[in-house]
Amino acid sequence: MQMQKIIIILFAIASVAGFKQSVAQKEAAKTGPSETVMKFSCTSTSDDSIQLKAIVSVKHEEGATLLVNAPISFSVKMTETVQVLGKAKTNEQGIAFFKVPAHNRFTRNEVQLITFKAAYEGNDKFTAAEGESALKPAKLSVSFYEEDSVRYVKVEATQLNADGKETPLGPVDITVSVPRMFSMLKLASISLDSTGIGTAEFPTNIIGDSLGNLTIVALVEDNEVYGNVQGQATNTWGLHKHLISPDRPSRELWTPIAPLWMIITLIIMLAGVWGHYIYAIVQLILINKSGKVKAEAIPGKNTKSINS
Amino acid sequence: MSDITSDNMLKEFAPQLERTSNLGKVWIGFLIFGVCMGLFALYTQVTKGHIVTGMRDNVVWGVYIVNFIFFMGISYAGALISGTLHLFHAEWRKPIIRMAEFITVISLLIGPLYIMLCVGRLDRLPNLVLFGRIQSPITWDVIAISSDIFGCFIFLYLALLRDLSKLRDFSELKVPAWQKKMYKILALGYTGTPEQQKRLKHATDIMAAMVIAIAIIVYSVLAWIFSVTLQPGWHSTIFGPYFVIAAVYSGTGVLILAMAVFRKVYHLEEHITLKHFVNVGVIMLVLAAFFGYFTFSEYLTKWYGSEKNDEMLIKILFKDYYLFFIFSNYVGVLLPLIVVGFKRFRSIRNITITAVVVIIALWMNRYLIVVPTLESPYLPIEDAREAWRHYSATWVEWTLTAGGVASFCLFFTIASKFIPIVQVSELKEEPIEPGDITL
Repeated sequence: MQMQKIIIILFAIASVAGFKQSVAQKEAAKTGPSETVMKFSCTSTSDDSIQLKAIVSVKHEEGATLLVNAPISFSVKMTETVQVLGKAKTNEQGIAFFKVPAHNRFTRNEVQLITFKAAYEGNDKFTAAEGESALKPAKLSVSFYEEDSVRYVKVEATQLNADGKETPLGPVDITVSVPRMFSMLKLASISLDSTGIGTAEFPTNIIGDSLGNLTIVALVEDNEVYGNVQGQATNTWGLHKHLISPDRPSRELWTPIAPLWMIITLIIMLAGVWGHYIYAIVQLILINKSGKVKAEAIPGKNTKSINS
Repeated sequence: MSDITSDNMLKEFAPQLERTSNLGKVWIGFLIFGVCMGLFALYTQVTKGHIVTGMRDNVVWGVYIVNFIFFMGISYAGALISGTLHLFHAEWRKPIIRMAEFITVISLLIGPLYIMLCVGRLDRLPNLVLFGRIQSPITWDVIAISSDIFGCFIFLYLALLRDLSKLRDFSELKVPAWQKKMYKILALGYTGTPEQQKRLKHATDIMAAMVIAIAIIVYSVLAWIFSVTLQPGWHSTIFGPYFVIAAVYSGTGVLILAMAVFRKVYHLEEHITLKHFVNVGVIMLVLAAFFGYFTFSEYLTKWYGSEKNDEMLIKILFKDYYLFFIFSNYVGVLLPLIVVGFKRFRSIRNITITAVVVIIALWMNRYLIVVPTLESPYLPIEDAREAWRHYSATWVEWTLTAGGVASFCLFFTIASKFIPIVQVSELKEEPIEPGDITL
């Protein structure tokens, strides 16, 4: 009896453990519309535009889900009114983009900032959400030069004033990076001088594509005045990526030839195993043959009589 | 004299081949229903894609791979147990060895199917053979599993040959003509001449050794699929032997369960006695001790090393999966030690219940190896939805799991309707007493 009690307790533990696993993915029942959250940002780009970006997500008890195909309305704040710029729908990643030229027709506030807005109207299932972001248009130009066999990256930053003139950006911090598969690989941090120019030594060990092409991105992030500013340029200073190295066979996915030790080991093992299988099959064939010969040797006798 | 004994044995086992009771028909119907449910889930998965499963970009393996490891594990256990007992001429093995052989072959047929369920593009499956690279552990697995399936079929066939010839020659057996013809063809003209016996013994001895070797190789290869990666919890030098021990351990549990079920259903009380349960139970006890040792060694070194990601994994195991962890690694190890270790607990029922606990514990152990590691990757997952970060199996996966178990039971039941579940030709040599395993 004691044993049975122990077993029952153990099963109870197992059942609870199983239940705990199975409930994880259930969504909580909602009575009203789900709450939506918007992340809105503006980025001045090197082609004299401002890119507006709105990410819309829906809050759940277990986290957040990105909202796909949601119509987002983008607008800019004028002196007393709000001027609608246009609409865009969120993509599979829940992001809606809208690009506007960085011209001077937009009204600026007392500190020369242009205020952009993004709004999602909501519906029966999701609540409305909006975001606001202000910036002064700016531009980053990225160039490269070589001096005494040392390579440098140079960043020049300008700002677009209300009078339409471009003047050098004040001292701000800039990150220089290379886009990689999952994130940006940081190469250097540059602090611009009062003329809006900064340089950094270019590393020699960055892997590019098969021709050594690299895209270099300079970025000002979350600046109080300029918001996000991005500029980019390409060069061929990357190390050439060699996909195939025939003289060094290894375990990499792209190598066509396996290491010799592996081929020898596999052949020995397969020969050993399948050799024995063949031996066993040959024995079965010989058993079959000898059975037939025996049956033919005793005419008129069936297998039963031989066996008995 | 020996044929008279065999005929008597055949008379005893003939009813299980000739008739199926109403309860048996209901059981088969239930299993077919389970298989059909599995097929419906498969249809849902094929038509709607893997979105109907809990597998996502981050946790790319779930219960399918757990089931694959589990079924492959019990198959190797069958091979190891039947092969080892054959080589050591353990007399007491005779009533149970057929079950071990059936377990081996049937689970080998079902296990690899779960791998295919993990593959999103089944149309690309031939590429594994057409463009297989031997540097890839997946290719090792394909080669090893196909060799294993072939070897285990040969071993089972060799073990069946004597019984097939007896069934062919047993005139009182009331089975359909096609079944008689099948016995005749499969018996290969074996009549038990000294030459045939000698050849059969040679072949069986060699294949017994081969299935042991190939089982160890195949399960090690399966372990290496995990351990050659640098993932926390997988990158381990002891994963090969750890997997082999876990496989034999779970397989012993399945063997005990099969012994208990067939003993009850086919009234084999005279042939499968407490002695058999205790003997297999002792094997299970030894394996439990080894399994516990490997588990402790694996987690101790990771915990003591305090490598950042290993530490994170251990934290997840003891926080989110602590009930699974306790059940699989404490209860699953200690229960066989207590039940089989102490004589007063040794009863057929207790050992069978312990075997069931071991089977569940070992399934959970495989779950703990696969899922928590994938939930703690090296690259941080940010701004991803909950279902992408944490895995939870869906009804499709659970139904296909149940379908696999139903298929296993169905194949086992059908096999027992064509071949006696104990080795009739060998039972004539009277069984158990000396040389049995005792503590």
